[in-house]
Amino acid sequence: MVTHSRPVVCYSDVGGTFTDCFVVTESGEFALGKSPTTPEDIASGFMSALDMAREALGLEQREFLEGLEVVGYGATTVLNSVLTRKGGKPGLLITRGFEDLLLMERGKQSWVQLTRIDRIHPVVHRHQPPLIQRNWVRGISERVDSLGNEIIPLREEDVRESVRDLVKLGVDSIVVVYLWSFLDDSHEQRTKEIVLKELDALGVSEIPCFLSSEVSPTLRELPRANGTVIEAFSGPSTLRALERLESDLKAGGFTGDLQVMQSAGGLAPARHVRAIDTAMSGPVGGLVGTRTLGELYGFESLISTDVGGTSFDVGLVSNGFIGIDREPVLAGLLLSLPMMDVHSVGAGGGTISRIDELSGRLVVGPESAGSRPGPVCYGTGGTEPTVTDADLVLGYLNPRGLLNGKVSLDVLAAREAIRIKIAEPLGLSLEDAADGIRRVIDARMRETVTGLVSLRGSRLDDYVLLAFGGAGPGHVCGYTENLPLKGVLTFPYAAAFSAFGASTADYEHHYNRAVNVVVSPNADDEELLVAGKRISAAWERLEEQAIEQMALEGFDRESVMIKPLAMVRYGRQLNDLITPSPVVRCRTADDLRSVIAAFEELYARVFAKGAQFPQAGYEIFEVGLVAAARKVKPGFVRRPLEGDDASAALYESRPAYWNGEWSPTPRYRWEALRPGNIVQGPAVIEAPTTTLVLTPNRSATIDEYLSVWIGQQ
Amino acid sequence: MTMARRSLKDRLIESEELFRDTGVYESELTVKESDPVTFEVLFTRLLQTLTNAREVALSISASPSTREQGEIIFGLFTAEGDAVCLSTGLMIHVHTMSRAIKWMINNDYETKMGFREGDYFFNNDSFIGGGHPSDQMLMTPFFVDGELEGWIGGLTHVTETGAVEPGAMGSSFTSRFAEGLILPCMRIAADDELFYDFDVLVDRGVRSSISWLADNRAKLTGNLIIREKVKELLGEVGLDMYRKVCREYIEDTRRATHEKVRRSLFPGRYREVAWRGVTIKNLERLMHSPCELVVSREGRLSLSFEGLPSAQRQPFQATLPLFEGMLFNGLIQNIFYDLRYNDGTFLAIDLHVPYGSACNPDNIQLPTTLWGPAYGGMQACAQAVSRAYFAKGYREEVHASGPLTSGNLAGGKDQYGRHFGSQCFEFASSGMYATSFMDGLDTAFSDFNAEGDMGDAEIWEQQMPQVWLAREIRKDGGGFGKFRGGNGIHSLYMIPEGIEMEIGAFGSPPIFSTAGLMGGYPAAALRVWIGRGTDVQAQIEAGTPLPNTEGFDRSVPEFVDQVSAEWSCVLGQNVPTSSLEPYSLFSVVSGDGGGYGDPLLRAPIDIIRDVENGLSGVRVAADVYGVVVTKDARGNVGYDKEATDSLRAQHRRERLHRGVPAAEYKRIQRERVMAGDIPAPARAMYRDVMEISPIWADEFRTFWNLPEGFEVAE
Amino acid sequence: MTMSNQNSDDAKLNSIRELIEGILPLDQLATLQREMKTGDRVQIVLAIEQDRVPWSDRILVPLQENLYVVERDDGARVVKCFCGHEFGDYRLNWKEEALVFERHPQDGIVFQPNKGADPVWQLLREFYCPNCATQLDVEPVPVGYPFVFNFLPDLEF
Repeated sequence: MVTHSRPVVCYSDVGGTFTDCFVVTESGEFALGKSPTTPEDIASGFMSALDMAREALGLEQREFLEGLEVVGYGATTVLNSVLTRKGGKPGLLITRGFEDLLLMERGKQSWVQLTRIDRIHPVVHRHQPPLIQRNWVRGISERVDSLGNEIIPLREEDVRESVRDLVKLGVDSIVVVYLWSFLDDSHEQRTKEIVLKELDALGVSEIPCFLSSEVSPTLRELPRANGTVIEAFSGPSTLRALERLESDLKAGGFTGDLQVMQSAGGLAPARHVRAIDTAMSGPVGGLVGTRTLGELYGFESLISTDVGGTSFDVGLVSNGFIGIDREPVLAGLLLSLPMMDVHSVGAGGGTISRIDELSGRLVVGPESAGSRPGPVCYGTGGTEPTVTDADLVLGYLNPRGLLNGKVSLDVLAAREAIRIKIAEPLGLSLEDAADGIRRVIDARMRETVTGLVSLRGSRLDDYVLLAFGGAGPGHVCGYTENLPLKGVLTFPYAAAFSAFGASTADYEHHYNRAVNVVVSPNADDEELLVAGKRISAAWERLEEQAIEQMALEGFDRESVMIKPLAMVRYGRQLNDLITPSPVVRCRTADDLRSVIAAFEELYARVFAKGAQFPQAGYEIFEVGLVAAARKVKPGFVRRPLEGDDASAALYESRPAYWNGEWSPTPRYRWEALRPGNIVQGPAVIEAPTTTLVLTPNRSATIDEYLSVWIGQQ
Repeated sequence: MTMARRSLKDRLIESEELFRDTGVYESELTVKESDPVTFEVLFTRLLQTLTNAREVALSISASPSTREQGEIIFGLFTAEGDAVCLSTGLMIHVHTMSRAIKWMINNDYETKMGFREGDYFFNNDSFIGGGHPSDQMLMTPFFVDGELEGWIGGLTHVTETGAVEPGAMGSSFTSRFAEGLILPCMRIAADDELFYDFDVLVDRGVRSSISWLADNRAKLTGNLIIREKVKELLGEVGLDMYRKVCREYIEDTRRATHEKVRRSLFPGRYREVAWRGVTIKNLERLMHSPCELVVSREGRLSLSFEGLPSAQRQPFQATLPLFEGMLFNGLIQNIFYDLRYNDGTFLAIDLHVPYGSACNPDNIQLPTTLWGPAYGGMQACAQAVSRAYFAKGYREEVHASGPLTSGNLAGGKDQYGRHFGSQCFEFASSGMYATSFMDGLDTAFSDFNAEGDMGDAEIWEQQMPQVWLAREIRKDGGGFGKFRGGNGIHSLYMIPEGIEMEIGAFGSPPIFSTAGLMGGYPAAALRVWIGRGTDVQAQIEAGTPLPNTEGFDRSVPEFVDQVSAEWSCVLGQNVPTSSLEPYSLFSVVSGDGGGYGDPLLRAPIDIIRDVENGLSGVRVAADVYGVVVTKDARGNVGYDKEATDSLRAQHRRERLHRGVPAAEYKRIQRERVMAGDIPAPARAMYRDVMEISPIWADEFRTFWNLPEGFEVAE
Repeated sequence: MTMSNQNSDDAKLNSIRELIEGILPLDQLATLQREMKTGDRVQIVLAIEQDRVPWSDRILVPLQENLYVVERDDGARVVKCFCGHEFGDYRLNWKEEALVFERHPQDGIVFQPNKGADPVWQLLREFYCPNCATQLDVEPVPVGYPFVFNFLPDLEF
């Protein structure tokens, strides 16, 4: 393809194994690049992926880079650094008496990453090695209480002594975590002053100092410490790598800023980003893309479902808001930073099925064969039957292989594995066994979707579901069967949807700040006014912070959209709801009443009316703010409808197994389908990187944007 | 035409008779055999539904033990009350909610109260179901075509019940009427709406009602979600199919239980003992939990607790439902973790708990707050199972006893001016047992809930106004051994200014809190220190570093030496609540795990790691482990191999020197027994147990070769 | 048996040997813990243990850390220590043939006063092998408590 339209947005996702690159031109054309990730020097893999996409567009490097307005970047660098324990050498100053915090792990970190069975089987629980070893931790005499009052003054000589001590041991950064510092950060701030002065005196002023009240100013000491420690451990090297990448791009002709994807969704310039905010960029793209498509079609509530090789990831966009998890877990560490809320279960193409020897049950997952050894049919050493093997045995996947035949599939091996390991022990035919594997995995995915929707208290019929990921189109009919959804949508570029999605992200920053507001059950105007003032003050401070940062990034006040949030709960409850505030400030008692009313409405929707509990009063211990600015986005090309006859895309018919029997099944080429075409199930629609399996009672309709709507009869 | 419906009671009797007569719960597994895929798909959906409901309920709860420690579980039951499927969570309650549903059926609730859809029955009477008044369940029936087809239940642990002492788990209760509000299977909602007067009852009946009332809402919401989902599923598959698969899931688990035992455990007879006791003045008594486990070659498990002490007016005892719950919780963690969790496992095991004992009291007016020998029974059973795994070669499952979890209670007025009463549930994250292959995890586990979580201190300080001066890993708490037990938490608290507060604690009598295995030492004894009239305020003003740690290897904790105060120490950890002035200090420990194997076989590298992490000292390394630790100028820790080899040899020589042949030892001990030269707490135990259990009395006499009819002197 | 099966069997044997010796890396240990219990482990472990012990009597069952029930050439089934010391008929409690030491629960050697139990309530009964002095069991018990007979294997197969 040689394009005459200018490339505008390029997004690269640097994964553990591959770097994916997605480029969109002014007129909405796109090109993909893929190259092995080069962990020691990210830029090299990044550039090769970029080159591949550029060549696909037939452009020279300078022309290409000069044309780009946005280069976005998402990476697992921070995650990998934490997982491999390869990073800096921070020392920790912590409230005296809490020196063991990182070793204790609150207990929960020893099992939080495990499966249901492993959690209940405690001999498999393990502590993780701490990011800061215990003898690099120093206790500092000081204390603030739960109301933010100082009860033990900061003992400054403790700080000075500890810094000298730690520098002697060879630390390359200093982390400060004090209890309740998010309510009153003066001890942490004063500590930083002393630390910097000491470091200067010791001639090591390049050693940075990280405060928990700056990195993660929220309740809960362990997540706050984790976030701050990760920033110190992985941040400096991550940011240096970004800097190098940006200068390489600029040397090649790129004139903009390198933008980094943040875990809460939204891009931020590499020079201003915090490493911890970029820790989980992988699943973000899918959700952002889902919201973008929602905007295109005019839907506010959508479900994104991503079926990969090992996991099934589900996320929600509700009323235009992407679900946010404020207590995410990163590599087994609890955090309290906003990240996109993506539920992940062990279900994907590589998921292994087996017979439980004790009861003779058919068990599918959660173990996965991953990409190595992979499904049996890949012939790469896998011996256990997987979901992909079942898909192949049933005649859904093309035995000539995926990626236009680049990967061939061994049907005989897959049949043997399923026959011996599943069908015979269960006393089923080979096909019914394979079909059983699909039904079990589809049921798990289906319940995950309905579960998440009910967890967020919404009704399925408000939602449009999007299916993507390499195995998404292959199972979407199964996991959406009989669900009363508003619509089900998939795309020929499903396998690259995450990169597409990320390319559509806006500039965005999320801010949170603790407040200490307790509203009694029948609060009078005066109480509400006082409480409202506190909330307003916090919002104001966050807004100033946001405006200042966005100004640095080149946005004037007018172009920044501000959304204030209040984290509200009933008195003494432990879980709050992120409540978008209907007012930007609480100037009157009624203003705060309106925030509470918004919470009550949300609560009744999320849980049940019977769960409401206004007689307990309300607590707001945290407020938040989202600041966003628009970015240039890929356009969507709208094509004229060409009628429902899809026969031009039909290229062969092969037997496939439906409802207990083999029947000849038409197979279509996805890229040949035209807007307006309708395909009736049973049918199989093939794209180079994915296969849409249309079951007998479903139909596929191609729309003006080439998206595929899956209907139910 | 209406058909005469059989009553639930008749159905229950029939179901129980069938099992008694045939030994099976459902004779044919026709669905499983003819359509194994549908069988699995339906279960997947049920399980996911329960798990989702639990997640929702967690968000509604206001109880830190629920939200932070996950003390919550939901279950789906047959019409007769048998558990079909359970969410994750408190596995203790696999069977305790079954008990409550069956109790209602047996007590004619169907005719006297009537069951309607939308009704919710609350129970926290532990003689009926649950573990103690803190364990609160909410059960709702559901109907299809007017017929009751099943039950849904949710249970949470609530930290305030309006007991004599705040925090529901006082160690001084001598009557059940001290335990607070106990409500046996009461209807508290109709048409899915909670009764207002019940809220009022709770609100006026306990110190702070919020967690109880919010948890009711959490359970109601969870039950509602499950009910809708199960009915939807039922509509899809049809009633006959639904009824049949529910019975098959239970039978299938029953069969798998036998198979798992057959494959995993070596046949034989196993015996273990664990200890508890009463420290209430004039009622001091040691209590033992002797456990005999018999594994048959066919895979049957029989458990007998013959020899338990008698039930008395003290809180260290358990109701039968709780004891069953504790045991099955332990068995699921240790053996049946990979089965479906339902009543099938319960049906597969023979259990003997003597009636009238402290784990099956014959008097419902006795308190049952603190379980005592039931917790011990589970620990003893787990050690027996470990031996059975060991013999079968499954060393990767072998472990010593888990921690006896213990903690503090508090009540008063908090920093927001509100009344409060609560337990600090950080003990849900105590020290794990040592295994045959690695040290027990520090601060990460409790037997009653494998998903150990202590919660952040900042969360607790919002709930209870005490201020932590230290929250550290307890030094040398876990039992010494080739692999050491996990250390629990040591917390030192200060009462802040302007707070009215009373504090108490519960734990063990003055004994080692949990046993070791195969040569490993038991975990350290628990201790509470309370300092009144301290000079802490003066120390703060003077700017001296405040005391915090227990310190290494001390006869008195470091913080005690550093603070001038009127100090008191309670060995064990049973402290009745009393009020404390601001700037008072108190310190509690959460419980530690037992050690495994001979300490002289411990790898020096493991000792070095503990020294580096500040968890153990040089003296213990030498005296207990025979390892000579060295430190270089830069503070790097190492060990001297030659000196270690020679010290270890010396330790062995000393053992041979001080050890006496067992026959000789027994001869001397027999004299003591004959003469009644036994300290009072044990004497009281022997007299009591020999009276209620002639079988145990005979064994005692046989072992010591005592005359027939011998009694331990008073 | 194919070559690759042979290799994987060897690897398995090796990892179980490491498990018994307490040196199996933790990630491999977790794999083992998650595996289905197939019931044939006992044979593998018997073979490994037989190989480890410095004597040749046939092991019938590993009784606990360091102790085995063995069948002697004369047909007697006895409890035997790793070091070779014999404790007599397996149907009797081996503790009756051990060395016993009653330790004060706050002796300042193993347990400091701040960590030990109250001697009125409980003491520590340590059992040693009379030959190699290995500590085989520690019973925290009150005065006068009978020795616990931990395990009587059912060997009549």
